Amino acid sequence: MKSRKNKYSLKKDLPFLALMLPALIYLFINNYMPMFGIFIAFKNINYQKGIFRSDWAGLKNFEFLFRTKDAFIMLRNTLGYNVLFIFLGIILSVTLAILMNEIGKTVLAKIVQPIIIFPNMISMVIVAYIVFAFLNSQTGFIDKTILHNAPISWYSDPRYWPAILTIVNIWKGTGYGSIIYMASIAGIDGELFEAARVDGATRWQQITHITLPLLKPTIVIMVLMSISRIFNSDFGLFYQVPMNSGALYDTTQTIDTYVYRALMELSDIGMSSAASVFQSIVGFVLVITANKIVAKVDGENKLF
Amino acid sequence: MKRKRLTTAVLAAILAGSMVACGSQGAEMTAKNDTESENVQEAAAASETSGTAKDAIWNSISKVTLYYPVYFNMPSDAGIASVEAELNKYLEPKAGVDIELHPLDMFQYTDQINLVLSSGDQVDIFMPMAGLSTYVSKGQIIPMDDYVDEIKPAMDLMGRDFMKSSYVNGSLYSLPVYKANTFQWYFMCRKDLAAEAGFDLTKVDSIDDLEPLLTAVHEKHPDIYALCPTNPNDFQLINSADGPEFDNDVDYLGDNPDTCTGAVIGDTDKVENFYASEEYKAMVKRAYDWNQKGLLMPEASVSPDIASDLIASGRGFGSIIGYGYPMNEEMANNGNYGDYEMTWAECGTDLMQSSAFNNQFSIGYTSADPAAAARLMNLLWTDEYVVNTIIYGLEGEDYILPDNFDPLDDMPEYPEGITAETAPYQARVSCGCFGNNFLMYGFGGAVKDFGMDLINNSKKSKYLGFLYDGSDCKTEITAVNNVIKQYYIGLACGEMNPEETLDQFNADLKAAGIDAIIEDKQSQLDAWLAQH
Repeated sequence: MKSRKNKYSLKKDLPFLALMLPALIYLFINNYMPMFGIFIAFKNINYQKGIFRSDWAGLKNFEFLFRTKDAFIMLRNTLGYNVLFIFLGIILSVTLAILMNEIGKTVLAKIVQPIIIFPNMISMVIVAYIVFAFLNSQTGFIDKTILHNAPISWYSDPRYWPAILTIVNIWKGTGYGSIIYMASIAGIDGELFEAARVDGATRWQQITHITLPLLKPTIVIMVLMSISRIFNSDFGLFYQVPMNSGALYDTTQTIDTYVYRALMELSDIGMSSAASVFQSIVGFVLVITANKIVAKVDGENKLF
Repeated sequence: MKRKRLTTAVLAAILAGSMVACGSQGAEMTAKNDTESENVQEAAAASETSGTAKDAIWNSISKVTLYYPVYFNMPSDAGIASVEAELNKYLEPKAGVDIELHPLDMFQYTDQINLVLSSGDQVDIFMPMAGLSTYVSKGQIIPMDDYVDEIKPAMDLMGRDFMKSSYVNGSLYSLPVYKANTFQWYFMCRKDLAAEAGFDLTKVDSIDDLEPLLTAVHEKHPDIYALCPTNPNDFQLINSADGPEFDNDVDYLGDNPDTCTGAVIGDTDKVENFYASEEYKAMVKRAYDWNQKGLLMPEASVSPDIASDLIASGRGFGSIIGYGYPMNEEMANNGNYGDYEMTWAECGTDLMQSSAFNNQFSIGYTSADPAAAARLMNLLWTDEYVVNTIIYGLEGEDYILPDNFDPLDDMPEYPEGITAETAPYQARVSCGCFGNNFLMYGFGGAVKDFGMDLINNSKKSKYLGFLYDGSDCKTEITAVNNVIKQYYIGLACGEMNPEETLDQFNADLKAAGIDAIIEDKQSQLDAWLAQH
């Protein structure tokens, strides 16, 4: 962290930089070269003229994002769900990681671990049909067992979907999300716990005084990283799981689904680039701001 | 975050891998074609000296790529290669072209074509499915005015009227597929249940007339869905051919019922909001009414189930479907509905929309030799051998002609032990969206008569050939389409009550700017009317 104060020496760092090189090249090709596409967001693309010679469109390509009342709905949904997912996700993942750690290296842990990670490997399309198997009014599990003769038409009432989507997201992502925290906990020096036990600390005290404080840097980094993607949403979750039902748009429309639905017919690359430029810029601004705030509150844990 | 990166990396790797594969395959192909073209030229030269060849000898052979849609079963790479080789033996002396076939999955055709066009690959002949004017304004297709000589036989075959939708700003941009460009609507249903209900299907004239039959079946068999969705989320209940109360046929002016940004109803010359019309209201009211009575499959707006599966598994009775072909016992019982014997009723014909000829082929901006592309295009409309080879594959390998084969009315059969899934090459389901439909085996006789009758005698829109260019209203069209998506399926499947939602639907459309599009459409239509 304090390396900045040391005198910079290329000779010393060269081997390390060389080690970084493959990753840097990958990053450049995959993440920096496509940035050239930002151009397209401000152009009226004509294929015969090419990207540079096409006419400028100004900000016209961005207009459709803010045009209607949908704009408010999709921004609200994208932000709202992401904030909810970030906080719930962290609370539950950390809890899960601590609980798994408490179980220790037993046979039970070996069984539970794959089970909690498994949902993450299921494709969203299949998840959508699992949800459909629960909710559909003809043969759905919930309507047949819990509600008996009073079926609810889940797919035409937007009120239920914030809860449904949150449950699905937690079911799918928590297990996988907890891996990084389990790794961090495993990295904590065992002597600390031993010393605490010798001093008579209870398990709860060990968690609140040792595990959580030492997990804090990891948590902060994970939050910052999620904040940079706060204007992006899990397309599968918001498009597939509600079965693309129009009646649910009030609570399931996010920026990504809106762009997809709007541009499927037009297939206008100018407008789609505009949407992703907007998402990236807002994400960039947010992550810088969040990092500043973290730096103010707790300088040790800032990202850069 | 990390997860996302990883997926991207994996995707990139896969993409790169597939590109390499394509590249090497392409290289192989050209190499092979080179040697072959030499052989053919030698052969042609040989026949020239003997004085039997009438074909011109071409100074150079141009590669022409053909991107066409196929359904369900993709031809195998080996099958494509052998069809190409066989076709080129014929095409090189005949037209001086080497064909390269690129079948694409129909349901992803527009996406895939956009990708290929954006990447700058050579695209000679393809279908501009997203609307001719869109491709023209993006500069993705080139005018064919300089190549009229090459395609003249095809143009003469179809006649001037058929080519009405092929011009943008006075320039020729496409050739329309030659086939019956409008639908006869049918109600296909299980024969046993229809007979049990004692209903005379010949008395049906419109979809409205089906209600007593559906009601009778629903009452006797409440666990069987009386009307099933033809396609996912779509009962085909919103269409323009329908009953006496819809005398004013709707022309969607190039859109579909589920993307309509302005329609003309009747011959009024006035563009209006289709979703605010009495016609639309009547259609969605009927859907809601039938849903309330239990005649429609419930929750169709989210269910992926379709009629063919539902009927085959004994859970469905019938569905509404449009064909450009005459219905007969053989067609009705083609195996799509399982073991149940099917029967049908005729429910009226469609209005021939202004967009009826939008099923077309154009020449892409990356074409290396547009004249050669035009020569090949001409053959897709006029040459039986080329058309049948692309649709059915190679005789002996992909199909066989049985004894007493009548090319006009009989379909080729699969060789012993080969099916639609296992044939090395076949694109049979593409018959309706390829070149000249009537040249194909089995489509030249009764089907052609029926099709010509539809073409000549069905009710035609006054605006046939009008093309709307929406490039000035992109923002509004995007917003309006999103509003339509929110309401359309729910209303069409009878799950939303039109009394409660229609007003809100139209208020949202207004807020999204549908009036601006209607105004734009109206001025373009006025200009078009002044010219025609």
